[in-house]
Amino acid sequence: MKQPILEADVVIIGGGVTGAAIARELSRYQLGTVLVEKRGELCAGQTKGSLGNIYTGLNLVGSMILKSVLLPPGTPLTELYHPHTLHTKWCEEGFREWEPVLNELDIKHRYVPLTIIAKDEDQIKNLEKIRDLGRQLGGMYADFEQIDREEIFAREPNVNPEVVTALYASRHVIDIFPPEVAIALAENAVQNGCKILLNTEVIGILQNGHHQIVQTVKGPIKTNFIVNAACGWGDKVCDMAGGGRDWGLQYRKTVMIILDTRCKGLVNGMVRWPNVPGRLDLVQRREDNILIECGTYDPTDRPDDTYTIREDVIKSMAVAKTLIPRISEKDIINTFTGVRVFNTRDVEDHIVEFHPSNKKFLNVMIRLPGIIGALPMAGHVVGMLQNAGCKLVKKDDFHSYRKTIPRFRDLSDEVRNRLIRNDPRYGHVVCRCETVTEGQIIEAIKRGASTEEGVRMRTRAGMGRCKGGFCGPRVVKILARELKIPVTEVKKRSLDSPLLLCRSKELLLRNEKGIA
Amino acid sequence: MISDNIDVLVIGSGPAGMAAAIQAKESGSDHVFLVERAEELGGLLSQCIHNGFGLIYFNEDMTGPEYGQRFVEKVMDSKIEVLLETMVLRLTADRKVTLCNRNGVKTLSPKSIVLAMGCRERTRESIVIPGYRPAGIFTAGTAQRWVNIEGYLPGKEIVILGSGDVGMIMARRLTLEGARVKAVVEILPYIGGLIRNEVQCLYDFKIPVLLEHTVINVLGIQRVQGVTVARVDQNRNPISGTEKSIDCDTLLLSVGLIPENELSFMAGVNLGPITGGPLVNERMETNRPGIFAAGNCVHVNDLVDNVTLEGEKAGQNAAEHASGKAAPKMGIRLEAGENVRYVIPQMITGEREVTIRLRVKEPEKGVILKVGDIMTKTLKVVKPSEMLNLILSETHLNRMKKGTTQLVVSCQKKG
Repeated sequence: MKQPILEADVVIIGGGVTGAAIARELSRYQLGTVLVEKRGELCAGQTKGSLGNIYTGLNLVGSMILKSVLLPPGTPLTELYHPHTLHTKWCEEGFREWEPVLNELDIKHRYVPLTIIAKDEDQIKNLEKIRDLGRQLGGMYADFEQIDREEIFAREPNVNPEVVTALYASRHVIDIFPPEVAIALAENAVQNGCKILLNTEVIGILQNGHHQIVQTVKGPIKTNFIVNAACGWGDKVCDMAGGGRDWGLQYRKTVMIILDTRCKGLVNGMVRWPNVPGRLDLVQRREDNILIECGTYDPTDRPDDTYTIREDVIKSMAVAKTLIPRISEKDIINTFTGVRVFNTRDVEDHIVEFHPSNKKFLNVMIRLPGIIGALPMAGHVVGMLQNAGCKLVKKDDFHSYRKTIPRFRDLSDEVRNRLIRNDPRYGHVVCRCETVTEGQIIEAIKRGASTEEGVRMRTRAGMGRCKGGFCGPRVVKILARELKIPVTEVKKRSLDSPLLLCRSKELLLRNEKGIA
Repeated sequence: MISDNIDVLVIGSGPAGMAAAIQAKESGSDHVFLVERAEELGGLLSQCIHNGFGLIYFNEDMTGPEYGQRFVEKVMDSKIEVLLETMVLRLTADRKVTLCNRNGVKTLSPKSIVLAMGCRERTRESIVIPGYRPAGIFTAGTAQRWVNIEGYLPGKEIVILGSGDVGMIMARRLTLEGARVKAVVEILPYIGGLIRNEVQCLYDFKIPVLLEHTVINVLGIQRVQGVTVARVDQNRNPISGTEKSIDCDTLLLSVGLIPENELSFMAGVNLGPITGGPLVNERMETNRPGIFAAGNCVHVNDLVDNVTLEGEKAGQNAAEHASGKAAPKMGIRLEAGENVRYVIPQMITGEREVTIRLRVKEPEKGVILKVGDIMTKTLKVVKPSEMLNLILSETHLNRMKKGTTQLVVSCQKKG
């Protein structure tokens, strides 16, 4: 039987924060938008493995200063500032644009202080460069203070006791959980009519008269425009639409470490050494945990090389202890590796351009930071589509608000009781480390979570110190029950990640029948 | 509606919690509450379907569910208020306890509290096994729940890292289920769990054991496809050139248990750096008056029978505290000395007979156990996996010099 072919005006390939932001922006218009993601859940690639703060000012200056080693001596530091790149523009605009949207989308966020500390001569020299460039650029870039030891310990009491000076900005970093941002954008897009297809890998792109056909493992989609937001896989997708790429993608990985919530008192915000080229040395609060990223950007040849190397964890912890000496290996509850994708054609900038031989195929190759600039990026992309002939008619009923799944852990007892009265399943705590209730898990499944990881990303169930040892079986059974599938069909994330391989006694019965 | 006139509230209904609740009731408390977050009483006993329980306490060889059932029935018969699928969200130093279940969230103020939350398993993440993050890595206890309670097999070809008791028991269990256990890999030069499990679970089923080895790599991006193991040197670092790959679809971890003490932490209960559990005195009372603790949340026990005995002691003293009886002064501190990992309890009165329990650091043959200079005992062999019990009688305690505030417990090699 032939299935009716799915039709769209725009197909977005890739369900990370970039694809999700574009989907939401497009959902403001009377368009058929379909987002396809090859993995079993959204934000399965870079977004999931990124540090992912939304930041501005001082932290941006820190990133600029990294390139100072490349300047000939005597060059003014302001040469490091490239105001006309999309990268700079979106970083500058993004922070402001996010403020209302974080509230509209009910994304959990918190402004945390940034403290760049220095203890030895080299660090002080680097710190002064950051300070001087910030002051020269002025405006938001200069909106920080230099503080002395007494003030450092008043604000971050647990930093290295040998620090002598620091730069401090109280509101330049917004702590968010990157997958939540992508999921919130995507959910809002879906509320406004966008269609999201998971486990839908693109295998070919065909030209068909005025239309294009996106061939996927789940069947073809007929569309007018295609947006390639596949990031690490973006070159492969682009090649399907015809060659002619010159991006020279490179992949670099770093390990990240999460510490137990018990340690949350050790830092109030982000604490880092002055940026050094090729290195990242910081310890920060991530919600109630501590997140450590102290490492080098190590080259790898694959965008999915999320292999965690033990030595990297050990080295990373050693550096983290120079920042916050009371950190301990005993408190590690998770380690994971993120891969960042860089293009080598335009090192400083993103690549956002139509395919040279296909003016309805838009490549959106975002380098880090991807989340800060995601909103202006999405606006820019939609503008480009319009210029290329995509007809944009605003919807009258676009709904910009999205409600989060109730975060039971964060609620007052009064609000909790109201929730439970409405739905007693909110009174049944399933994940004890993160205090996640059955009600939340069911709501996550209703919103599209179909795997253990999908539930985890949306609710935090299984993200705590026991890593799902207790709640894992319960979450899997709730998934099976709600999705009406056998327990053995529940996956960790993608179709090829089954959790349980068969029923008890199945192997014995098979052996009895003589089947190997 | 839950009344707020509670004498003893016990958190956790595993063997320690059930024993504490029963004993509190038997010691005269009228209103005893037993709070359990799971669907049924018994804690992990219900998934421990192997035998070996009750040898000391009942002088019988029972399975976990059988052992548990004896206590479940007693709980049911003794008018203990049982709250299932009820989570304790908060506990304060002054014993305000906030419960949550399908009826809502409520804060109570019991006169005494017994902490009996048990322990959790150390995870892959906490021991930093390198590799991808595929499906198919389970802690042994979670795998045990899948097989014995839920009725599913986590895998068909299995490697087990760590030779803790649960790991060895699962090696046998999965073998009986028709799965192939290809190796039990242990970083130490000796098996981590009880000798009887080594014999009955590994040796009897001819399961290959790799001592002084560890897993240095997990293969597979979406589902486990194999592991790489290597021999380790004296510092437990892998020796290069000794790597070998084992194909498997599942890696089970039996690499240690950690007492669960988030509530204790919240209530400002002092935790021991070695045990990871509350520091307790001979009444199983913590530094917070009226907050008692027992079982694996205090320290990871070897045998359930001992957990029950600890629970009873905590329950009895919690009832006494609830009745307003003044607590005796705990003037003597017990310290772990040579080759002793820890001693329970950490504080005693020094005035009445007390049973102390300890775990050694390293296996040793021909040793003398010493408690200060008031008691010695010779032992042929000691092992970290098997706890030692010592009774300090009043005769022993009377040997203490006046003004003694500390007794060092040590385990020295003879001669």
